[in-house]
Parts: sequence; structure tokens; C-alpha cells
Amino acid sequence: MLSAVLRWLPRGGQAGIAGEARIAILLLWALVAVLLLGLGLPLLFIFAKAVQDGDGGFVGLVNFAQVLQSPGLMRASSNSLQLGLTVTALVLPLAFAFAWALLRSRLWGRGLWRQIGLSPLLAPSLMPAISLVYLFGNQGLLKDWLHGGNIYGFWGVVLGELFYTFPHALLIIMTALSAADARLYEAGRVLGAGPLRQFLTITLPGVRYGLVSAGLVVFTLVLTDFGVPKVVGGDFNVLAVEAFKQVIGQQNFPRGAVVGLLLLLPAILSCLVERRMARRQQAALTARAQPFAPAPSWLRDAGALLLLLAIGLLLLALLGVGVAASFIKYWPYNLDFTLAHYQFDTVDGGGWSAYGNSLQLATATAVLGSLLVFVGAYVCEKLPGMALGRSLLRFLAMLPMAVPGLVLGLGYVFFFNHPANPLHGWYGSLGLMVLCCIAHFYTTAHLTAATALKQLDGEFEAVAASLKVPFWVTWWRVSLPVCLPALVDVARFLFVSAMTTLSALIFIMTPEHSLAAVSIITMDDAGDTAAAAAMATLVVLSSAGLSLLLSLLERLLGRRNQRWRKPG
Amino acid sequence: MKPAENGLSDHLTMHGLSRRFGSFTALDAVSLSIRKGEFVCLLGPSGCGKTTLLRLIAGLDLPDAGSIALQARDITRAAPAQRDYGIVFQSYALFPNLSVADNIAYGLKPRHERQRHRLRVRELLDMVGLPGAEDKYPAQLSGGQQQRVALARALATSPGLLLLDEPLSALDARVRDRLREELKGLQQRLGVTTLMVTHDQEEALAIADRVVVMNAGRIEQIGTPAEIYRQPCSRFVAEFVGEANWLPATTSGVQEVRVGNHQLRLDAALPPAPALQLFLRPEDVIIKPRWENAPNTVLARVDNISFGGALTRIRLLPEGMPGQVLYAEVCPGMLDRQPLVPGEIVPVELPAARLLAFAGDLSC
Repeated sequence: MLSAVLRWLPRGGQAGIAGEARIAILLLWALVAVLLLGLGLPLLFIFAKAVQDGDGGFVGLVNFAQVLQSPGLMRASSNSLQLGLTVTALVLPLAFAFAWALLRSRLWGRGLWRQIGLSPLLAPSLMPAISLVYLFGNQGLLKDWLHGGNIYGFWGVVLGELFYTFPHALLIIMTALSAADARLYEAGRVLGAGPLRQFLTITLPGVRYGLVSAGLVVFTLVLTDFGVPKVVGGDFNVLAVEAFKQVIGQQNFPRGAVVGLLLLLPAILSCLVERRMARRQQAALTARAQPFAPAPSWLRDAGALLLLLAIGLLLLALLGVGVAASFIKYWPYNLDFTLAHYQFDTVDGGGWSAYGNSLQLATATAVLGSLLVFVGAYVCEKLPGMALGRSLLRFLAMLPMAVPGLVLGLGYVFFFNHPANPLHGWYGSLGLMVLCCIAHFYTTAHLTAATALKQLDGEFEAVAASLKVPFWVTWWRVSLPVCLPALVDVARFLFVSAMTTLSALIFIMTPEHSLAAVSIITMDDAGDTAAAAAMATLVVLSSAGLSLLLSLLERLLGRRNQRWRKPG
Repeated sequence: MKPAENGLSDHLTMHGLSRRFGSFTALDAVSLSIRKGEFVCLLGPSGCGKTTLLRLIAGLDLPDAGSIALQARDITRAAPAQRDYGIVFQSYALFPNLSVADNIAYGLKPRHERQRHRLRVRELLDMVGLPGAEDKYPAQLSGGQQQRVALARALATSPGLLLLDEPLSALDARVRDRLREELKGLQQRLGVTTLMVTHDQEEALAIADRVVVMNAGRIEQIGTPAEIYRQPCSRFVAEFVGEANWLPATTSGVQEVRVGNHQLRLDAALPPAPALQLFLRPEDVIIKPRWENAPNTVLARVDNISFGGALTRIRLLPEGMPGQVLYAEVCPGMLDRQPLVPGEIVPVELPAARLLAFAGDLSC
């Protein structure tokens, strides 16, 4: 693509230089246009839909009033709220304990434990739900433990959401905990503070910000998750499922839009709280900070091991039972090994073609998404001038963080499925799903790329300009190679996210283009739990496989790059 | 060799350049001309606007008012690539993933003529004193070597103007001194017009044909290093460049002032202010072997003598000037002929030809 652009341009001279500025502006506004199309306009259409009646006439706040008067929806809201608070209250201490055991002990194999802690990221949120059904469902292995109780309902959803949100909380808290300054602990010890006092006065205040931010992320994730309540919710209705029922089930778009806006509220609130806190938060680590290294203590390490074992085994169980069950003939009566559940011939949902679609989607999202994100981050961070366009681009890049996938999906329905939209024909195609995935996961990817680019010397572009070398050559020859590890991270993140996500895509996929994660729901609905488990296992294996492949690739490239990374 | 005497024209001209960042005026109507082949230093404390001026010339920032012309061509709003200069930053900004050869050849065109580039790179590496470093990577080089590579890269396309942004500041003292000499030699050999930004006054005086002292967005003085040092035209320049004694004084005649209960004469004109500060470099204070009743001569008690290598520093307390301290710097050789002992009273001359007066009350 780049070389094509290069060939069009006259070499050197005034025309080429004027062309460079023109290309920069063109590039910037093209990126803005892509994000507006994939993000801005669909969101605007949710707002528009919420104040219209079914035929498109303006009705003001009537839809809101209707939702507030509907007992079913209000019960779903209060259920969602209750669920969000419970899961947040439970997952924070668990994730904190896990992070502490990982970062503040000298246990052997912490890298492995870290991977186990993050393993739920590889699975769709349906996976723990299916495992729970296998463990505690009507034919569950451990059903007796419930003493006649039932996993379908509030506590079942809580357990599933705990598994689903745990790695997200863990990542944030680990980042906060790893920014520890050893000098503070030394000062504390010299002043006679015991381990408890050090923990209360140094460790906890240091991660305060991380804890709050993890809490906000978890709360928003739980409120907008759709997979777990769908599978183990039973009669326990939540807003996310309600939005789906209104739009896809009853085709009641205005009411779906209002529910979507309700779901946008916690995310927007979290963003505001985070911004306020970020302003008050001083830099946790100054340049002179000493990295913290835990002193040897077998007592603490034993405690840490117990913590890791308890939480890690629980996570592995919720992941592993589903995987194991997919290879078993008839759970729990005939435990013989079989691959029959992977044939998908007799079940709905698309089977292997759905899996193929998901692979295509994830690959396209990873390749196109990382390219787009890296060009976008480069334009934002490195090109001079164009202040207005760049701040618009930056705003659009940060916006997806505040938009749950479910809400984005609703917006896509309203915008792209609108009969008057010239892109109407695109609805339901793989291309639209790729755009949706890129938009949905843009913020994290953008921040990763922008952080890597910010570490490059800000004067590279100035030097290149003085040498009359256009910016895209510098992007290609210097910025991209130096940021390769971050690029691999972004690609991995986009692939795994696109593979496992459900919330946005369930609104825009059509039966002809089914997806793996969606087909899990279809199969589970039809009672084919074993096939659903098999599909979920395929998703987990693909995500894990690609992660492994990219790690190997990174190591290989790293060896080639070592020549310039290592001095001497 | 003074370029002006050869009839060479102005290479770079700035007229009335201003740049504001919000309410902060970084550059306030600055005008400056640089002749072809000249080495000019922009000298000043941090925040004085010298880097802003360099960025305007490089096209990395645009002025709010004023114009810049390079070889009589207006480049005020031109893109960096439309100007003709090479630049070396304090950080060197070497591309870490490219070898030394690729770094230096980065701006050479057309890209595919590898063989020609290889010859040019070798020539440049010989020139900056790093022969055979083609295949190394920046991380494998020392700070001084990286600086040489950055210089070679800036000179590779034979630009008419070389911009240097604090190029020596990140180096340790010994390397800095050697590179300073080499840089000057190279610049003279190539005859490339050079503008260097520095906050190090010693460096500026040692290397430049002309020094431009800047303060608070304005040019305080433009002159040769000797002019800047000998005849600072403002109190700021006098304080910023070199060391000096400051004596509070009051006007008492056409070219006479009163310090304590002494009457001193100056060759230079006095500023029209009742309260003055007299300026005298420590090496201009003359310690006399015996008393004679000459003008501008006072008695002073030797308070302290500290050895400082090439010069010995003597702390004097002049009589009749309560609380005033006077520093003198003398060659150790002079002390061999005329040994001084702390506590001794010596006659000291404050030469009228060297004394300068500036308006103002207390010195810093």
C-alpha cells in the first residue's frame, strides 16, 4: 500500500514536499472518517432512535417514560446493578490477592501462574457458564453440593462473571502493584513499621488508584455482559439480555435504544471518575525510584502459594471442565472419550463454517486493525500541526473505552440496517463485522501503540524532515521496526478479542455468516451443551494457539533484532 | 579571516521574529543576520528563547510575526524539507534500528544507488574521525561517537546551513573539549554556515566567530567572543558571561564615581543614573609590588589565597569599602616574584581602562 503511494508521488522537488503535507492531511481525515463511520455515527443513531417511535417520528422522552414504567425492565435494571456490585466486591479482593502473591513473593514459576491468572481472557464469557452447567446444572457432577438448590440464577451468574472479569481486574492491579518504590519500604522498616503497618500505609495507598479503576472496569463489564446471564441466568433477567430481546426478539428498536443508553451510563460515569482521579494522582514512580524486590520469607511464600493454588485451580476448573466435557460421550453417565461433539452436523449454529468465519474475522481484525491503529497512533503522536484533526482523532480513539460492545452493536443495527443508508447492503457481511471489532477494541490497541511510539525520540521526524525524507519512509524504516513488540501485542489482543467477543457482533451477524461465539449461544439454547462446549474449546485453543505462535515469532524476530537492541 | 571582509553576503537573515506560547513570550521581535561560512552561537540561560529561534529556522515551529530568509529566499512558512539545512540534536536522535552507514545514508538520494552512498558514507566517517564504523549500531557507540555519527548524517547531503542544538551538552567534560575543537576545525574546512545553541558560555566563547547573547526572548548583544567578554553592553551579559567583581558606586563627576570613601575614574562613559554598579574582571585587578599615589589605587587586606591551576585566586578586602569583597586572579608566576601572605595589606589598582559602569542598585 505504501509503495503504491510512493510511486504516485513525484520524487523530490516542491511538488513532492507539498504532496507530503497533503498526504498527511488526507491520511488524518481518512482515519477520522473510518472511526466516525464505525463508531461516531452508530452511536449518534442510538440517541436518535431513543427519541423516535417505531416509524421514525420524533416523540421526545416517551420511550424513556415507557421503560421506567415497565416493571420487567426496572427489575432487570435492579438485577444488573445488584449483580455488578456483588461481582465487583468479590473480584477485587481475589484479584488483589492473586496479584500480590505474584508480585510480592519469591515463588518459583510465577510466569506460569500469571498465565493461569490471565487464561480466562482466551475464552468467551460463555465458557465458564457452560462449565458451571456441567458442574452444578441439572445433570451436574457436583449438583449434590447445592443441597437441592439450583445454579441457574443470581449466584450462577456471579460465579461466571467472576471468572470472566478476573483477568481484567488482575491486569490493572498488577500494573499498580508493580510500580512499587523500594525506598518507601526501606524507610518504613527503618522507622519500625511491621509488615501489617507497611501493607496498610504503603502498599494499599499505592494501589488505591488501580483498585478503583479495576472496580470500574469490572462493574461496566458485568453490566454489559450478555453470555453468562444468557446461559446460566435462568429466570434472573438482566439489562443486557433485555436489550437483546427487545431488538432482536421483538424488533422494538426505540426501547432497545433506551436500554442501550441505560447501559452506556455506568461506562460514561466510570470514565469521568477515572479522569478526575488521574488528575489527582501523582506519578507513582519517579525516575529515581528503586524497583521493589521482596526479601526471602518462606512463611509469606507459603501463604502466597496457597492463594495462587486456590484461585488458580478454580479458574482452571471453570475453563477445564468445559474443555473436558467436550471430549466426553455423555456427561456424566458415560465418560468415554469421543470427538463426536466436534462434528456439528446435527446441530444448529453453523458449525465448522461458523468457526471458519470467526477465524477469518479475527485474522482480518488483527491485520487491518493493527495497521490502522499504528498509522493512527503515529499521526496522533508524531506528525506536526493539524491540531484540530489530531485532537478529534485522539478523542475518537479514546471513545470506545466508554462504549460497551452491546451498545455499539445496537448502534450498528440502527445505523447500518437503516433502509436509507447507502451502506445497507454491507449489513451482515464480514467486512462490517471487522469494522465493528476494530472500533470496539480500538482504545486499548491505540494506547499500546501510542505508548510505544511515545518512547521513541521525538526528534526522529525533525531529523528526517531536515534530510528531506517524507514521514512515511521514517514510519516504515524506523518507527514500525522499533515498535515491533508493541505491534505484535496489538495484533494478539485484536485476534483474541475478535475471536471471543459476543456482545457487539450478535446484533449484526446473520445466519449465513454465523460466528463461533454466537453459535455457542445457539447450540446452548437448543440444548446441545456438549457441542457448545466443543465450540468454546475450539475458540480457546485458537486464541491460545495464536498467542503461542506470536510469542515464538516475537522471540525469533527478537533474536534478529538483538544486534541493535543490545550494546557491545 | 573575517567573512565580511571577503565581501560574502548574508546567508541567513531573520527579521522581527516573534513567538508566543499562551501568555509567555518566547521570542520578542528578534532580528539577526548570519554571513556565509560563519559560526554563530546562540547563548543564553534556559528559557531565553534560543531553542525557539532554532526551531523557527528549522521549520519545526512557525513564528507569530516576522520573516526568515535563507540565501535571499523567504522560508518563513516553508516546510522543513523545503529549507536547506542539516541538524544535530542534543539527543542525537540516531535511528536505533539502523546501522551507522544506514543512518548516515538516510537522506541520500536516490535510495537505490547503494554503491555511491557507500563511498559517501566512508568519506563522511573519515571526516568525523570514525573510519570503519559502518556496520555498528548506535547502541554500540559511546556518546561522543554517536555525536560524530549524528554530525556526519547532518552533513551527508552537503547542506548550506548546519544547525546544532546543544550538541555537546550530553558529553563528559574531556570528550566535550576535544569534540569542540574538532567541530570548529571541520566547520572551517567545509565552510558551512553554522548556528549552534548552547547555554555554556565557555563553549560559546571558544568555538564561535560571533556570539549572540539572548535573554527573555530578546537579543542582548551580538559580537565576537572578545567583544562579549571585554565590552559587555548590558548588565545581563556582564553577569552571564565570565566572572566579575561588582562594586556599588555613585556618580560624582563626568567620568568619576565614588565607591565607599574612594574616588575612581573610568575611561568608559557613565550611564545616566545616580546609583551604579562597577564591573571589573578578576584578572584585571592589578596587585602592585609597592604603594604609589596613583589614581584608582586603593589598599586592600589579603583575606584568602586559593590555588586554581593556571590562575591563583585572591580574596581581597579593600580598605574604605566596608563589607566589599574583591577577587583578583593572578598567574602563579607573579606570586613567585611577589609572595603574598593572608593578612598582609597590599596596594591594588582598579584600571580605569577596564572598569565599566552599569545602572542599578544591588548586584546579584
